[in-house]
Amino acid sequence: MDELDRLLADALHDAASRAPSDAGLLGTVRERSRRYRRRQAAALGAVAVLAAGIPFVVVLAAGPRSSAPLEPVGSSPVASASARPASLQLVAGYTAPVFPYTLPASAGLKAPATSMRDGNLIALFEATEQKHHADITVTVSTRKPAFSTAAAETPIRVRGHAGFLRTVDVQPARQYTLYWPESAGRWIQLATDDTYTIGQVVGLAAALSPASIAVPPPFTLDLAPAGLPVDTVTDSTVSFGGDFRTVLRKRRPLSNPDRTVGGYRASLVHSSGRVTLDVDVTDWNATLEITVGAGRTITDADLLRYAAGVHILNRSNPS
Amino acid sequence: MPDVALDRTSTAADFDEFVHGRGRALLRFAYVLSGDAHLAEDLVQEVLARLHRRWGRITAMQHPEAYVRAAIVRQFLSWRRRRASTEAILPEVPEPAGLDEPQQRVLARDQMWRLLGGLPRAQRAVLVLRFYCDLPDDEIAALLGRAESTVRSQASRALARMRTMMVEEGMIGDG
Repeated sequence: MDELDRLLADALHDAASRAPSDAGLLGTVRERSRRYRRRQAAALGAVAVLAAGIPFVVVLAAGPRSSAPLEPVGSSPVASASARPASLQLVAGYTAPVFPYTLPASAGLKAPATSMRDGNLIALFEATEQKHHADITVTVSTRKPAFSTAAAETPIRVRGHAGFLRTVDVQPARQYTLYWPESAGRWIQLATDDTYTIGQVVGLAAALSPASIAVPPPFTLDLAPAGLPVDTVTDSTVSFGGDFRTVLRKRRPLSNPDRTVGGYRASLVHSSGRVTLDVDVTDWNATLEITVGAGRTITDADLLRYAAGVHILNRSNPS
Repeated sequence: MPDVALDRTSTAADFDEFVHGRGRALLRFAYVLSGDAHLAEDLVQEVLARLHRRWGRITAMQHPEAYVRAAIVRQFLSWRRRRASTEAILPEVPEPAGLDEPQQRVLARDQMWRLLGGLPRAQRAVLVLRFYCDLPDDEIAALLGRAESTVRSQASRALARMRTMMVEEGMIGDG
């Protein structure tokens, strides 16, 4: 940093001390948020019920349908238990799960960010413009959704199916969750808030069209356990069959490093039927934790072979 | 099956706590970014009001404050873009001074602050993110949605412009 850089940094920090006070900021923000909501409600009253940003023709064209791809959603741990192998074998390659729907491109919504948790496929369409759009989360599952929050629930027709609309009346915005059986063994849930009218929410559901959006994993895998369907893929985790889990965690000290994996120190621990391999991935400032749960068996050699085939990607985010 | 509503019921308290705890820091950031107290308040209020209803998702992020700051920068750039025809012109040429004496250094800082006000919005944002927030160029590039090389060239052009003016007026040496 030269003299000009230092002077510039000094000038900025000095100026920051003259910034306006935050007294009353929260009240002002709340009032402005309420004002936007009122303004929006007024605007919505004057406009025909169209899904915001979604051309009407698209909504109609994509209207009630049952032609979604019929690949099974990832099996849940419970569902996969009956197919549990006595001993895990590794096979080459990894097939990413696929989110089977999308919404029409809209100026106020980002392309979907997909993930998978406990067998449920999830797509987040993040709003980039918050006056007329809100985040929309679409979840595809094999079972009827179960909720733990009290909510008003009303029957509603969605894409030609008998569905339900749940409304949770909370501040700053009412939460809407629309869910319906799309086909045998497939339920869809669409969650958003009262930025949209109920008619628009139903319109968004109708606008869902078949797609094939791969869920991006946080690492590439040279090997995968045979016969175990992937059930969780997030920016830190890939899990197969519920209890073969690979998780990138924030770095923690290894308890007893006793081997190396790909040049990194590692610790292999057997405890109560579980096997845990921790790899100290120093250049990522992270610990790669691979756990095989009780009831599954895998040789230490295979577990190390699997670990050596895990390649961490930039998009990963240690949990 | 994720229960979205459950996660959102406590967001109001989280939001209030965030504004109470970080509101002042956000205003400071917005002020050095915009150079205008009223605009700084407007930027922060606007961004927080728009993020209010989706706060549950934002707090689930690893660095919610970084997300809010990024939104403030985008809002600032957007605001300036809409008002490009009235963009500030370079301020008055600074008075000559040396930096040996404390009062001259204070004067130099003031002159520097005024020069910042004449920079194009994108260049100013890059300098604030680099020298006030201490962000590396790759993070600035990600935040602004630009290539790292663009960030470097904008910073370089801004610093060269300021250096030339400061040297010409004897504020700093030319070495």
